[in-house]
This record gives sequence, structure tokens and C-alpha cells, in this order.
Amino acid sequence: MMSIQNARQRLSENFLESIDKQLKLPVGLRSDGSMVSLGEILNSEIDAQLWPELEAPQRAEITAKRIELQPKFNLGLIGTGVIDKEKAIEEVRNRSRIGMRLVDIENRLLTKLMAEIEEKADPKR
Amino acid sequence: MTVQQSPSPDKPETTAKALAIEANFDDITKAAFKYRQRRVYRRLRKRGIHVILLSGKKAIRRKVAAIAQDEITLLTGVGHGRENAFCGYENEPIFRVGRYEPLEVRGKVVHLLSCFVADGLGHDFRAKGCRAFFGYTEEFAVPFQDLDELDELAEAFFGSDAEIDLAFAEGVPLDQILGRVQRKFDENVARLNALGKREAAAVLESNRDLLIGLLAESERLSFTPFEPSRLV
Repeated sequence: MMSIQNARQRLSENFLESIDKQLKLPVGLRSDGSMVSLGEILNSEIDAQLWPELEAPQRAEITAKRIELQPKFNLGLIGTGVIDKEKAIEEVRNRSRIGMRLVDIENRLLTKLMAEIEEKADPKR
Repeated sequence: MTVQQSPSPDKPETTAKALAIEANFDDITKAAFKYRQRRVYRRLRKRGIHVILLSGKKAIRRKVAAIAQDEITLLTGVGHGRENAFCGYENEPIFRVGRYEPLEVRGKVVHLLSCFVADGLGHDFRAKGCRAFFGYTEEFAVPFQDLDELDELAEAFFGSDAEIDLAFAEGVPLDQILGRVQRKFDENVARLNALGKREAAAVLESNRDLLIGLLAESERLSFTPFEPSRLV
């Protein structure tokens, strides 16, 4: 499997533009525990564990941060009503059922996004 | 009873009745109603289905009970759910496990855009003789920054779910409806991804995997069309 580290120069400007919002959001943890964004990963070789390698509690922390960094966030739930950013972060940190659902949603997003970056950055394409 | 397709779209022949229950009282149920009113009920009527709509303050147990025992073939609705209950206006329970007349669901196809109802209420409906039940095992979620975005996402989210009603209206066999709905969800997930709305696409995909269909023995065995995704 190819790494997405330092892959920026192999990606088209159009694609980078299409994932602009994602570049600012965390996708992993450095060895000192600080979060690393997708943009940082694509720009350089950083010693970091990325999303697929993270344990559930680490994924929950990254998910909470990704929600926090969004300018506005509401999740309408046909079931319980609308939850705002603060409530969503609380649910993720408490690892409630809704919180775990939000982690699962980030898992879907990041798994697909990273696979797409790998494919697009592959020099054999 | 199956839905007969209309001989002419201009002169539909009414052969079936649908009861539509719309809680329609908060942002999310209002958005769903707005979409369904514009894009779903109109199409059901064009297909010759007589739609009886109970929306907002009319979406209450007493009114539903009075009509549901009638010759209804499709019972469709949007409302919040709680502990084996489907709720209407201001969360008043409409259907609760064991607390409704079997005639209200017997022989009907039921589709509820609601949470948690699939496991408890869905199985109860099937035990009481409904032909098919479609619903979600957890919350149907829609992410949005503001009400304008909620409106923009309506087609992808409520439209994917509404494919159940539309497929039924077109006479798609009940055991093939979920396959068609899956394709609609997948098309909308791909469209959202192409538009760069990756968060919304991931949420929609998650909703897709929570949808189940329960069919009466006479229709076919119950099944879930999708492998639930692995929760982390």
C-alpha cells in the first residue's frame, strides 16, 4: 500500500481544491500525541499514526476535533431532533451511541478519502 | 393487493389509498415534510394513489387510528421515534408496540422515516400481519450548517428514503424495493462526493446501512440488504 505522506506534488490542483476543507482537519497523531492535519501529511514526511492505525479512543478524540473545527455544525436526527456542535462533541467524548455513530461516519469519510488520495497519487496510474 | 399502474399519467385511475403521517413540527421533520409534499405525494397521486395526509397538528394517534383501519394499502410517515414507538406531532406516540389495533397495519405496506422503530415496532407490525415494513434501526441523520443547506440536501437524503414510496407506487415487487432504494442511496452518495460534500455523503451512506425491510412470509423472508458497517 502506498503512503499518502508527502503526496501533494503528485496530486492535481483540481483535486486538492476539491478537498480543500479536509486539508485543515486532523487525520492522525504525532508521536508526542498532538494532532496532525491532512494538509501537513500531504506536504511532508511526518512521523505520525494515521486514522487507519488509531485505536477507538484516539479516533473519538480526532472526531471531536474535526467537528469542533467546522465553522458551523448541526446534525438533524429523525429520532431525537437536532444536535449542535457542542452536543455532538460531548456525545463523541462520552462515546455514547450517537457519538459512536459520528465516529463511524468519520471512518467512512476518511477511509474513502485516503484511498482516493493513494489512487490519485500513484505514479503508475 | 398490489398497486396497479395507471394506464395514462394524465388520467390516473385511483386503485389504492395511502395514509401519510407527517409530524412536521421541528426543523428536521418540517424539512422532510416540505420535500415529501413537493416531490413524493404529488408523484403518488399521479400514479393514481389517493393520499390522505395527516400533517402537523393532525398527526395524532386519534386521527391516525380512525383512518388506518380503512382500506389503506400504504402507510408512510415521518416522525421521531422512542422506545418502540413512532411519534407524530410534538412527539405524541401514534404507534406503540402492542398498543394499536392489528387492523391498522394488517395487509398494508408500512414505511416509517423514524429511528429505532425497525427492530421493535417493525417486527410487531409484521406479527400483526403487515405485508412489509421499511424503517431504520437507528436515527436517520442529516448534517447541515443552516436551514438553506438542509433544504439543499433534502433531495439526496429525503429523496433516497422516499424511493421506497415511489417504488411501491410504481408497482415494484416488495422484495425488490430495497435493492432499488440502495441504488438510489448509492447514486446520491456518489453525487454528494462529486460535489465535494464528503461529510454529507458519509452520513447518507451510514443511513443507508441502517435501513431494513421486513417482509411477511407470504411476500418473502425478511432480510437486510446491506452489511452493517463496522463500528469503530
